[in-house]
Amino acid sequence: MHEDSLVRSLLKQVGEIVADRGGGLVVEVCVEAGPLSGIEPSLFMEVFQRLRDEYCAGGVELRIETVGLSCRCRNCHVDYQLEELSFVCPHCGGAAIEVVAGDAVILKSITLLPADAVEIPS
Amino acid sequence: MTRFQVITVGRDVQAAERAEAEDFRRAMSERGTLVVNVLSSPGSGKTSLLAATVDQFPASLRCGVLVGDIATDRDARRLASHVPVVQLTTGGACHLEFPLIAAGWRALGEPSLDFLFLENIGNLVCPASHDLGEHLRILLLSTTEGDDKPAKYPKAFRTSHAMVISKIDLLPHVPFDVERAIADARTVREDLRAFPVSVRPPQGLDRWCAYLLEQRERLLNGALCRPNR
Repeated sequence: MHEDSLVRSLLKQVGEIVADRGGGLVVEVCVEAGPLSGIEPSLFMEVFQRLRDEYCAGGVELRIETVGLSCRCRNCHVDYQLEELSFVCPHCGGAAIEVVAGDAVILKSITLLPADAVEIPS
Repeated sequence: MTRFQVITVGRDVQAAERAEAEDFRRAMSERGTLVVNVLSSPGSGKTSLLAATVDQFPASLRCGVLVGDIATDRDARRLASHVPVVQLTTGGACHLEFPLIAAGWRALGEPSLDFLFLENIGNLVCPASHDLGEHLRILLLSTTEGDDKPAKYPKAFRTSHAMVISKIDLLPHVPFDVERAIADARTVREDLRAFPVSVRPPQGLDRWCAYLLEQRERLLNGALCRPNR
């Protein structure tokens, strides 16, 4: 189970990006995961909810968008999505295939309430 | 009115870890050290294979091993009479990550080596997602595990360069079809090289060691060594 490690990397990256933008309150984090991303989305969500307060204040929400495996055939240079993990080009039937997306966890976007918009209770 | 701002990122959450691993791979390429990450289930024979490999190599070759385990230094003690070794203990984590490799490399004394072997934690799932700065990823599958494993662990097989089928001395006693295992693995990774071996008695080790030496020659000749996707 390595979701812990990936969630920590995600939250660390979010913290760095938000700090570079002058801080603020993170409302939502959106990630993209595919069939070879090496995570179980429900487990990733559970770990996120357990670890989020260590990195971001205010109960940030996580959205996981699942995508297929995007591949490119090295023979006919066609891009396509694999429905099943069969690694055969639907055009030429060859197996010289390169995975181009769907094999990592990608931080897509961060929804932020900028620091100057956050009301500080007096 | 509440002013929400959406920041578009589009970056791998492991980008920082991958960049560090890439720097290490480049540094090791410049030193002429081939880094080999060995993945398998527990008990497939990673430690035995590494001991037999360094014993089989010409004595002039300089090797080192960083061996990962969840607990104990048993594997390091087994290897210590064969090769300089540092034990990496993860304290429960099911895979190695790059910072542990960097620490292990420092603990080994950063010697001039021809081969640095990384013996990963016995697990075919999590280790597949972590770049350790290796040039070659090797997957070890033993004949006692079953020949239907490859398609069940697609990421581990997909990201490997070669598969070693270990314990072929047990083939008369187990329902394992070597050709079927290789064919199954190649549905996931077409160009996966396959090396059936036995450590006791030694079988197939010459061909396996020749492959490693050939890969190091490629590295010395500046051939591109990149992780598989």
